[in-house]
Amino acid sequence: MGKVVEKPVGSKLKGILLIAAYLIVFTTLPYFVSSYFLSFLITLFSLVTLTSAWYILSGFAGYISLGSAAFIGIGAYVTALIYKNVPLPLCVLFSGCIAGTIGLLLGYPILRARGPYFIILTYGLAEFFRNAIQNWENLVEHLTGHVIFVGYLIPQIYLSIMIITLFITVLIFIIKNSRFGRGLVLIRENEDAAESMGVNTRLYKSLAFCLCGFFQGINGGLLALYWSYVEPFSVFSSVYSVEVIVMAYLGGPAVYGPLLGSSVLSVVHVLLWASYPYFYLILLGIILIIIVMFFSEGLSGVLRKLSKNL
Amino acid sequence: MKRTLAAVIAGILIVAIIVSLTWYYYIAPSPAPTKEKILIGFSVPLTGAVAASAQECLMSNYLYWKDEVNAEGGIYVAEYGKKLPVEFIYYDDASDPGKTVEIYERLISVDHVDLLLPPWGTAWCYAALPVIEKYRYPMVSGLASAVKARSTPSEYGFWMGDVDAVYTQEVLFDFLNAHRDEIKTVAVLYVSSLFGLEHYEAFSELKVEHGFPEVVYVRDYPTEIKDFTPFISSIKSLNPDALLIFDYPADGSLFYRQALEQELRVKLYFSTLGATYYLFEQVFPPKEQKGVFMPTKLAPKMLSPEEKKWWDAFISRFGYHPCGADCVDARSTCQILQQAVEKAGTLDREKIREVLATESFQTVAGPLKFKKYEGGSCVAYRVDQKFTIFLGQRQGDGLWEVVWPPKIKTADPIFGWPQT
Repeated sequence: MGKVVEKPVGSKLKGILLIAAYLIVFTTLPYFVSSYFLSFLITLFSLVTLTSAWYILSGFAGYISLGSAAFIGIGAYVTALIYKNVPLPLCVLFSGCIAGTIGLLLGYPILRARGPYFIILTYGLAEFFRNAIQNWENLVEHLTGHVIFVGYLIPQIYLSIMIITLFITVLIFIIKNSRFGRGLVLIRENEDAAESMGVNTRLYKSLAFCLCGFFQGINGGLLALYWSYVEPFSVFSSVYSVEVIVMAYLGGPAVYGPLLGSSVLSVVHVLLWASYPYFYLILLGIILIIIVMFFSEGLSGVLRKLSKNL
Repeated sequence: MKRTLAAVIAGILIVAIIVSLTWYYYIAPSPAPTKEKILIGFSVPLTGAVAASAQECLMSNYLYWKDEVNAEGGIYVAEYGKKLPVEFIYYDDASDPGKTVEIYERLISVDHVDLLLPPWGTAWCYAALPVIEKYRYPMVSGLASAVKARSTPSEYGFWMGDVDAVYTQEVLFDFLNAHRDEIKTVAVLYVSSLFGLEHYEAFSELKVEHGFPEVVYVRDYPTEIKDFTPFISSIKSLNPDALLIFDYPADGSLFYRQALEQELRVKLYFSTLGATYYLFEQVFPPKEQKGVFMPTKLAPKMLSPEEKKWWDAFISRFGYHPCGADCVDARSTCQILQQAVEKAGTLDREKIREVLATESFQTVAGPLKFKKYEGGSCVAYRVDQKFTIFLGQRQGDGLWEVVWPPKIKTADPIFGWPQT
């Protein structure tokens, strides 16, 4: 092993100050803005969390997952089933735990596949859960969907998702500089070589999948409270899985890529749909095409080039 | 150290400036509008999976109603002593119920709309429910299932019951009861969605209550089904008297086509939405349509002068006539809102809510009133007769007749399907 390089104290202080600034700004924001803006921020933070969670496995280890919808749906359904009997914060936490546990248990066999086979398996995971729950509801419970009517919770949902977003963003930076993170990167670069160097690849991948599932499950639980109604068709929608990947690629390969991509796309999205309800998807598509064609390293690549030139 | 601190402070200032500018230009509450018009907001799927159905039924009827009202000068509001024209603000929810919350938040807290019209579909209406409850905006939900609404507590949600499962099965069973000699056995198919399940549940409860008919076959199917052949083969082999399919327009049309091709024969073929929409008329010529039963709230052969005006204007503007279910509900929603404002004499939403909860309304779906369910919401019902939905049948002229209940029927039912 090489010499351990200690990070300068200044960067830790920078980090702490950034976290403090983030908390001050976003905790006090509800007193100054409309509840619509809070709704918008809920969507934005939710997308940042989902994309960041995806990044833990797919960004670090290079295992592209189309299974985000599975964990979101599991989280949403767990909350829908237990919210009447369990305090809401515990509901949401439990949703994450269940989704994370499923990620850990299923990750072990699924992660034996690589490349396109893994992508197909994760896509199948979401479809499996959607159909399984739908059939269970139809045949056993004789209903479809659950109404989760707990009243108006937008400020509470906003605060929760804001803190979770902070947590996962910090976690990604910690993972990046940790043995775990370096192990995942080695897996991405050359899994066989990583294995031969003593990295427990199966354990690392499963843990990454578990963390991904945990945070996406928590997100699903919060979204269930936000939407007030869950049904298999909507909460297990594959659109979420694709959206997450688009945002991650828009952000670029950097560790802050998910944060950047999700934020920018959410802002562009809301500015367009409010002003151009009939054309915003076309405009959004054109913007994405331009970015993919001319900025192949994503927005983080653009920022990196700009900072080098400055 | 100083440079780091300066960088951090600069960063915070930059973020604060960006947030402020975004808030000021795009999000900040705009001043309340002067009362020269009534601003009505809603979300509608302009894109996505349900856009086509929503455009056909919801958007077309909302736009038609707005133009109709404004052609008369607007809605009379006694508080202002004049008619106020209606203006819409609407946003695309991209067929995603998740966007509905944000949209209705924006409509209320940023656009300051006076009133709301509902979005399309059950999931969308439930997504909007906490928002309307929080801000106390009464909303008449025309295109959402009302079965769950009977047990969902709400003071500001008023549910029309879009092809309501309970009402539909009640009129169907009343018909089947009167024709026990002809119809003894049924096969039931239902789409695996809230809509299909609610219909099947309502059917099952009534079957237990009435003690008949004998169900020889019951299956559910996924919404994205592409082939009904195995289902049809099984049903054929059992030779039931009636086929009841609780379907959506697209899968309903597919089943109908394949049933014709496989020469399925039954005395009674009932379809909830498959035979109701204009799509069915586009796919099948009148000869092939003949014989199918369906729920309807409209009698095309017995339209009142006002309904006839709506019917003809709809065809002239959109190129197709209104369907007997969702179009009726969408139009009724608008009519109820207009009458509630006129009766309240004000745009005060509490007074409008009070009127909605207590008065009856003349609509294209008949005279309606809302009944509050204990621990639930208000659901509409017809005040002049027992049934809120009727049984219709397509009898080969491209439209449909009302064949049940006998008091208001326009033609006798024809047994035997297909009639080609």
